[in-house]
Amino acid sequence: MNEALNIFTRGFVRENPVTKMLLGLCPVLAVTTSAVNGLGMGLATTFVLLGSNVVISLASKAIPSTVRIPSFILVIATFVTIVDLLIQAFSPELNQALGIFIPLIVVNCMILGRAEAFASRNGLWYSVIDAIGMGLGFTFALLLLSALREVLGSGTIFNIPLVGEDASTILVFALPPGAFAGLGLIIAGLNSLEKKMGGSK
Amino acid sequence: MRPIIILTIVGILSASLLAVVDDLTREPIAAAKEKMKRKAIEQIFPFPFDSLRTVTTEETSFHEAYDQEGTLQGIAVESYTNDGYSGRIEFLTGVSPDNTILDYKVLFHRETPGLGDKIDKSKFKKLFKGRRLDNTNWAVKKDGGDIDELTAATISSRAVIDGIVKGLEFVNGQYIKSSAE
Amino acid sequence: MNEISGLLLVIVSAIFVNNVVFARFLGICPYLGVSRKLDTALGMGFAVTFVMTIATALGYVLHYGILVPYKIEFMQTVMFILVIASLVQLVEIVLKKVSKTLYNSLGIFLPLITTNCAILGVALIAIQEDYSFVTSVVFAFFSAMGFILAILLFAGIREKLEEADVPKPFKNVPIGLISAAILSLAFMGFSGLVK
Repeated sequence: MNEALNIFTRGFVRENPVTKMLLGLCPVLAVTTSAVNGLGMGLATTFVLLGSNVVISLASKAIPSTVRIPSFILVIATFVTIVDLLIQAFSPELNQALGIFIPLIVVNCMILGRAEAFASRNGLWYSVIDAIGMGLGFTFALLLLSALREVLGSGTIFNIPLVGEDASTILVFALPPGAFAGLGLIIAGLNSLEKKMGGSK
Repeated sequence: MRPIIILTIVGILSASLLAVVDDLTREPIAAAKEKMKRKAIEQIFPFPFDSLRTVTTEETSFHEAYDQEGTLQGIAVESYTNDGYSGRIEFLTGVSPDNTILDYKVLFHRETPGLGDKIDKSKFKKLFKGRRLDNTNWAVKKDGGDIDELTAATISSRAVIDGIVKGLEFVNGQYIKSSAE
Repeated sequence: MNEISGLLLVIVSAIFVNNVVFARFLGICPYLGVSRKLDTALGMGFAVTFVMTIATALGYVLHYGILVPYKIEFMQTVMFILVIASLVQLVEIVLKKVSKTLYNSLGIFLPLITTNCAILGVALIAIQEDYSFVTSVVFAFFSAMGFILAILLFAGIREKLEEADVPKPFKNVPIGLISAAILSLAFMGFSGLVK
């Protein structure tokens, strides 16, 4: 059980795919204009990661190493298409907001990375925990950045206005430069936080 | 040989799974699209309506809203312009049967957030309510017209006028003129 | 005439206005990862150009030749990623046979390209925007040029940053992201250039 907890928190904190490993940054930067989008993208990615980790941890022994990567990609692409169709059917608004970045979950290096580095070498139970930990870590980072950008850039949070419609907001955070700058600030903030905590130990 | 067979099996499994999911979601997706359109139409009409009938012509689509007695209450017309600051903008404009603007909605745009995207805010939309083709000088104030342009987004404002006027002209061509004949 | 000006618009838009890295957020991983040195950045850029152009052309043919007629558009993601993955393998094999020097300089980047979302992204955008075959290919090629422009600019800045005295928490990645933000701000000056 300790081992499971260890795997779970690793993805969430110490090896957070976004702030530590810098994986899957394209969707992180592109869709984080509002907290709803960030959350939607995070959960969609978590679902794909969970699916691919489960299938790959079960099937990896049957797959010869020569076709390992193409098979993994095929499995991931299948789950991405399922998510894509489900979002289109049940949340057309989210589909419109995330657009091309839903199919692009396929090339989120985090997912192939987990398949390669973890799921293909571990059992089902640990792979599930790993997927949930990593997925939630990814979602958490997206949520943090998108909330920061939505509050500063549009003056709303989860589409609830915090200031009047006419108030000036720091527009640049809603625009592409704000994505880069926001993520830079968050990583720098986490770095210095970690240093302080490390120092007090 | 074995790797190729395994890869083929993975491919077939994937394709058949997706075919099933596609089949299952086909109807919900169509329904979701329809619902989204209906929601947009409900937002631009200030009154509740009973039924919708869609007329599609070569140029555009009209969504006619009827009350319970079957009287035409309003028409929602689709139009677009390519003159936005970042290209295409699509509109859904709701008009009364005599072609007076009730409200409009921007269905698609890529205008600058915070500046040009105010074209979809009620403060700007209000400027269009009650206007008709013949009672308005369709240009921004800067160009000598009747519409207050958005600060720092004159091009977007001009584009809205272009798109809305196109919609009004579509309605004119389809309903007003043909009924006069 | 009209077609040529249309193509020109696509070219300007692909390189500057909708630059893959700064406006569309595609290909960020290699952008941050490989762009430490000017020459490796250039090598990655050429490899991407090659694969991106061919993948988009192939994707176009397969989409309109197979997916649309048989109404299996839902296989789009699966097929495109397989096309890209096999294309990358093929390029690797061909390069190894044809030119050792080229293989040595590009070879290490090739495996990274499969998961470069710029390739899949550009191929998907070309379909989404209803581009014709010629426009798609031109769009792909010049999007890649935009990518090269972005990583070259960034590599140049990074070489200077190595010597700069950056506050500790901002070292490496955060300062890289902040520089990217400033570059992206500069690229926003191009918006409105193409209508």
